[in-house]
Amino acid sequence: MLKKSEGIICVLMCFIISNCASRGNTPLQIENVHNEFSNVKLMQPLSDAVRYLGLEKGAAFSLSDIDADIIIVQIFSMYCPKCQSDAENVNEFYRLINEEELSIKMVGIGFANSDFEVAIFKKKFNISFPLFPDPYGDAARELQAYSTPYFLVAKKTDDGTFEAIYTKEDKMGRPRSFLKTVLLKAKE
Amino acid sequence: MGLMIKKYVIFIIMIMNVTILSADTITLEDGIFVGEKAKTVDSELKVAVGDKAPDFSLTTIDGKAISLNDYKGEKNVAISFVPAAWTPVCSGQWPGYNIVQDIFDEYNTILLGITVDNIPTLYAWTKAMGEIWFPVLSDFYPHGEVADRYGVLRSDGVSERALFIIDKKGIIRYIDVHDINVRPPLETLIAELKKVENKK
Repeated sequence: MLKKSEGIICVLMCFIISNCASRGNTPLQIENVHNEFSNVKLMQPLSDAVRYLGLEKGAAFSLSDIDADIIIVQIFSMYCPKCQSDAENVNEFYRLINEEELSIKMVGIGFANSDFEVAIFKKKFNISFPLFPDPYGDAARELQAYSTPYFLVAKKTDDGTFEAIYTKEDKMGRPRSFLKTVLLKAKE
Repeated sequence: MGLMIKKYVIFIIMIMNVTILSADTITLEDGIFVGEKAKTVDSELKVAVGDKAPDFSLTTIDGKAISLNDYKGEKNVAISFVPAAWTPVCSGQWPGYNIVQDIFDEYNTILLGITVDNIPTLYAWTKAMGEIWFPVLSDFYPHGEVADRYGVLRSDGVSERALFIIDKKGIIRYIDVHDINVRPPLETLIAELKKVENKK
């Protein structure tokens, strides 16, 4: 028979190993993402999105124009079952980041989705943050997103450029856990 | 010594259980088979807009028999033929239709999804998409008979990526035999449904 302490150690090791075995976290594909952010041009958002993202009114903008300490980019598709089932988590995450002291802004880019399809997704899942179409997949390719859902987290550096600090090629999962990861990476 | 061995055996069994439990079940995305790009269209239509739609009776993944004529006088019918389960474009197309049931309802239309795959294959594939609201029918045996009747059976035995809209009188109102490698735009389908229902 195992001693009680040995049994507890076994169980703890199993939890540790199972967490290590879970997938989702991916090595950073790109680091200095500022050029990529500058190259991703998105169509003019509606006025509430202009205010939220801190943009000047005008035509297309780049991700690098967004006024924020941290930018979270979600690459999604209306046709992606994982994106559909993860929408609630993503919405909750958006709610949480609005309570943070750091200025964390979020946008979604619909990979190979038209304006119509992005609007369907936004309405169906009651998405509050700005979503943009990427009908030819140019933005997704620029950000090296090859599947959906995909999350890229970038932090503004002292010289005003953005550097990628975290990427995830899977569902967001638990919002608080994702936020914790984002905040930890931002401090590194 | 025996106690040490017992401890290690228990430990190894626990690790194996954890490994098995940690393994993710196969998701839709995991199961996708990526083949080579196919010839855009590889069939000849046997029907045209304005024709009476050929009737058919196929079995759903739930084991029910559905005939096109079941809907005559009741609903418009949108038929989505897709080439094959567990392939990239098809696996993106139906999950999109799966979240717009309200739009099909708005235009009094039932969507029927048809492939030449057998029922177990279709069952596994559509389960991976989540709960599908529309009937999914197997055109497996006689192989591709319905697809062939409409003129959308390709030479390699799969169907085209084709959309048909049939009105409540059983008349074909719209046909799109699409590039098999490309997902048809949803807005085009919706616009055509709107025309059939005469809505602005």
